[in-house]
Amino acid sequence: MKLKLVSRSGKEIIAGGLDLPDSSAKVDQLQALIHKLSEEKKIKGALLTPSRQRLTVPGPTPTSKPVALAAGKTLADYDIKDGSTITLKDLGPQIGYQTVFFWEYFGPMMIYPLFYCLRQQIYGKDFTPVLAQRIALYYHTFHYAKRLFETFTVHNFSHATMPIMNLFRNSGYYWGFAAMMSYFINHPDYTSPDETRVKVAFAVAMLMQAGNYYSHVILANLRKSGKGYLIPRGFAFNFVTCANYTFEIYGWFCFNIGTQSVMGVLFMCAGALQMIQWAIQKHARLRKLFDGKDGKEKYPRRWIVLPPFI
Amino acid sequence: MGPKSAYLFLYNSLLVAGWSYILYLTVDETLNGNGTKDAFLRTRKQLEIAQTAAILEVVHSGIGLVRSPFATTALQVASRIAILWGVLIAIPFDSRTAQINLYSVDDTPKIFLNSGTMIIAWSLSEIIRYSFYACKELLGFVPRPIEWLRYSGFIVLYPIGVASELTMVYRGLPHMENNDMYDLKMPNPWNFGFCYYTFLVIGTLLYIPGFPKLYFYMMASRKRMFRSWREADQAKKNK
Repeated sequence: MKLKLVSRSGKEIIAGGLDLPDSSAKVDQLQALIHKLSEEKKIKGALLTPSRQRLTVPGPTPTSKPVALAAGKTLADYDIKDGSTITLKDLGPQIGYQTVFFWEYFGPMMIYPLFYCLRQQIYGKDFTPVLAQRIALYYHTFHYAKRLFETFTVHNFSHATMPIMNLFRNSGYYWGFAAMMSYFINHPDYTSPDETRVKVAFAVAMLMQAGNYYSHVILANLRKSGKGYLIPRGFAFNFVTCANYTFEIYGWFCFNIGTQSVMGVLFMCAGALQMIQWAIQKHARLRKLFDGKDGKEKYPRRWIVLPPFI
Repeated sequence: MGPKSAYLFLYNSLLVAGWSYILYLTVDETLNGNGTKDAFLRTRKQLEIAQTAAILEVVHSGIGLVRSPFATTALQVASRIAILWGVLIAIPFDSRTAQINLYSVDDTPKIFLNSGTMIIAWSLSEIIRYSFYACKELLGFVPRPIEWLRYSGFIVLYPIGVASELTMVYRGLPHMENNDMYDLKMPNPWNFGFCYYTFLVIGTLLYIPGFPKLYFYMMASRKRMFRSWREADQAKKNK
């Protein structure tokens, strides 16, 4: 069967088209073929490894968005037959999710303690850190160690790769905030809140960490069944769509109650802003998918991410 | 014209009027022998009103009343407000009338940068920009001369404006450093420290990547404008 391969502007990428045996061929085979042709320089531009290829076919109606081809499915799943046109977009240099997560979490875990441990060199005077500064150090370090642990043992990622520029952008964000928060919290002129408040706040924060971890385990198990999108259930997911984000945001809120610093609040707000956006999108996606028609379940009424606000 | 269009037309026209008045005052000040150095003193009240009114543009973008990108609009207005309120109004007289001379003939500066050149660059840019938007609201389209001005004026006005702004910051820095102006020192309940001098220096350094990006973005928009003109003219010819 012959397939036409075009760029998004409509130009044909391979003169004469691609040859594949029949519709039962898998998307992976199509990707491998394009990769080989790219290696042989029959396609201009950078080497098109499968993770760099975004292959789409037109949607069902003229106004619907193009449908992306997923590895593991067959061409027949997308109604691709002899003479069909497939559009290719180069996603640019890619990097693995685990690699990005490693660097963006390893940085803060190393950077935050620097200001505590090297305080004499950085601030120019020796002093004994107060309770809040010690607990904040342990909590912050534990938080990122937990994130690293989850990256390699819990998370089931939606994609294998992301654009490489994300590594620098995300690392800049995490490393920058870690340094700024640490500089002010570990400062000799740091003013601690009342000690009881510090202890209670961080105790609650640890509960939030546990909630966040358990939420991640539930989400990872949803993906394991491999049946596409499922309605998250159990634990806090019965009340909030993105319970994982809920616990994360409340965790940093408790951190700020316990440390009281502008930089900590800014970090929490920046993270919350992004997580709320993601949560709104996920909630909308689930409600659209589980609309109660054609025997599908109806998505239950739930908070999106931050009860009692949204 | 619906209520939204009427409001936007009113907003943009008022600002065209405001900035035109500022330009008139500045030119008058220059021609009356006082030169451009004292332009700021003459136009201060009007500048405060007109430039601060630009905050509404950020609101418009934020609530979706206009299609401009929120981040770009917010950054642009923020930098103008910072220069006006954070530098020009905050620093003392000598710095405000300061000048950097680029080219002199017989000890007379012929080409220079100061608050006057900055205000002229700002007013011309804003008059063109707000007229562009006012036409869009009133007529539904923009006449080609105004569209041309909008995508050509920047070529000269952006560099002059930016260079003048940086001149004022540069001249104002010594005063900030000596007086710990706007500084927040620790200890304090918010566990936060702020050094205005460092903040301005970093802000100025951000112009280095920021300005070329903005300039080239406008250049690309300019090319697109000419291309759409060509296509429209071709279509008319083919009719």
